[in-house]
Amino acid sequence: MISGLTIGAALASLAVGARDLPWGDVLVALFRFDPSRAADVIIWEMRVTRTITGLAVGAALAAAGLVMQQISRNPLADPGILGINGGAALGVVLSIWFLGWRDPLSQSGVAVAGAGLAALFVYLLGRGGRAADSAAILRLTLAGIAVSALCLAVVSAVVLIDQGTRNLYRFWTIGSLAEDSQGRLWWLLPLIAAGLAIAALMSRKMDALALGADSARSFGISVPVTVGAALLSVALLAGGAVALAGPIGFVGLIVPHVTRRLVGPSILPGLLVAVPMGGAVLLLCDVVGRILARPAEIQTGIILALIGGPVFLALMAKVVR
Amino acid sequence: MSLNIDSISIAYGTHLVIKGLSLTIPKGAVTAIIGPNGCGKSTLLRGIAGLLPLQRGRIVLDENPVAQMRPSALARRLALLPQAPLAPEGIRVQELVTRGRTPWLRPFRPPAAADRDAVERAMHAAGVAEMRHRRVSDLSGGQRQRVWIAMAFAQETEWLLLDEPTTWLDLPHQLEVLHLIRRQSSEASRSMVMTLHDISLAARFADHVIALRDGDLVAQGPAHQVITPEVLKRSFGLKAQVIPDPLHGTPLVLPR
Repeated sequence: MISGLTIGAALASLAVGARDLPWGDVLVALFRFDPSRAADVIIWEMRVTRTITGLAVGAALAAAGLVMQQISRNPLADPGILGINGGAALGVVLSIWFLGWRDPLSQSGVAVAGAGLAALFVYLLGRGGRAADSAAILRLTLAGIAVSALCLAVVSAVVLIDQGTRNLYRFWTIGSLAEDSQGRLWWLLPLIAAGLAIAALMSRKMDALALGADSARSFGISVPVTVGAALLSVALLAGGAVALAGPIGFVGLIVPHVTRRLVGPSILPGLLVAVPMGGAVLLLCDVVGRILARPAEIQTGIILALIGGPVFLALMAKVVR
Repeated sequence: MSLNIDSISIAYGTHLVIKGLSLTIPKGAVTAIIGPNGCGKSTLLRGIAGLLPLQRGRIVLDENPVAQMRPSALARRLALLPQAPLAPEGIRVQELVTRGRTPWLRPFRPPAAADRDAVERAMHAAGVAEMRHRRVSDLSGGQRQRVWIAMAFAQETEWLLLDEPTTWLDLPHQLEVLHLIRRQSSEASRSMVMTLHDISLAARFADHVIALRDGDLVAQGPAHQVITPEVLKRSFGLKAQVIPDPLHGTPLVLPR
């Protein structure tokens, strides 16, 4: 059912845009490409890349959110809320401003490094106390929100000061799939795949850590190694997603709540659901953004924030009493 | 064969909680560690399980020094059920008990037949098999504690350490849990080591009792030798009379 949803979202993403294409034409273009038809060119030149980008970004953010929520036992964890997307964005913007780095490889590298540093920083800030109680959840969440606000404030400042950076990042920093991402996509897909592979490989250890550090050690599992692997995985996933589409929030918050309902709290089955579902959610939001403001577009990040903001508030009311 | 603790010291930060403690825990028996709050009971269990580093001394498990064992190998021979383990949101009983198999599972392989059998045995031993599909968060405190104990049983180690397995339970549920531990020890011939607050319950359910004070050994041995007015005075600072329990014949503590 979820793969059906994902395929439907992908087809919608191919069909809907400034110029709508009939579904039949989409399928024909996909399977029998003819460069003389305008529809085929639109689909292959613009929308296929955009659709793959959307699937990869949604999958990466949902997987990152799942890993973060399980090992921190924090139902409010999300790469956007906990400042990891902000760290990645800050890394990219500073590298452009100071160092003039614009090629896809170095941008991917600084995005992952920025995400990793932010993840480590927020983890260290939020650590301590009994991990189960709502005070600890609140501390981690507030630490993340502070880091996020700080990073994004610096990003805004740099973009205001520097015209060149501004032009590059006007769309990017509010989260959009529309920017030309073809060059970056092929660098970033392997990074996102590596993040997913680490999460899958370490899933049993992370599941053990979700029972508390003492239980994990009693199962013979190294807590620092498992936390390090989780942070690396989150940095690759969120950093890769941000380098592709800017800091998009709330996918990583919402999707893990749905996967827990469907397949329970273990990480590996959760990933199998969260990866296609995250892709579908992001694409659907992107399609909605294309429909609402036609022929212009509303950036995906804005649509997700409109949906995700109220969800976050509802979850917070439930968790922190 | 036994668990030998040889002049160990354990510190939390700079505070030395256990100072040069030596004792022997017999194999195949139920051992209770008693002592006042802060005497180092939990610290001792955590040190034995390798959760805390030893400042000095060594622990020898069936003639193998624990410090030389890989954590994954130790986890197949010795398990610790912490005092307050955390259940992930939404987890169901059978899934949680299956996590006890973590040291035995191979990456990416689903639990093997042997693992599923171990989970079944553990759930039946702890009396939680009929609630296997329920959410742990929906259970009562007593049921939840039995689920955690089932998870520890499923690890199928020769040695099982339980940190305050009866805290927060009412008396009937305390008895239920202690019967469960006792029965598992004799039926699966496992060695159980637990910390307990209630001295009379320790006397009734343990073959071997260890009394601590300030990280030091006050007495160890069979309950009737350890639980005496003199040891209670030295360990707890408690003035008490000890009489034979009219039902079970074990020492019964009557605080003055």
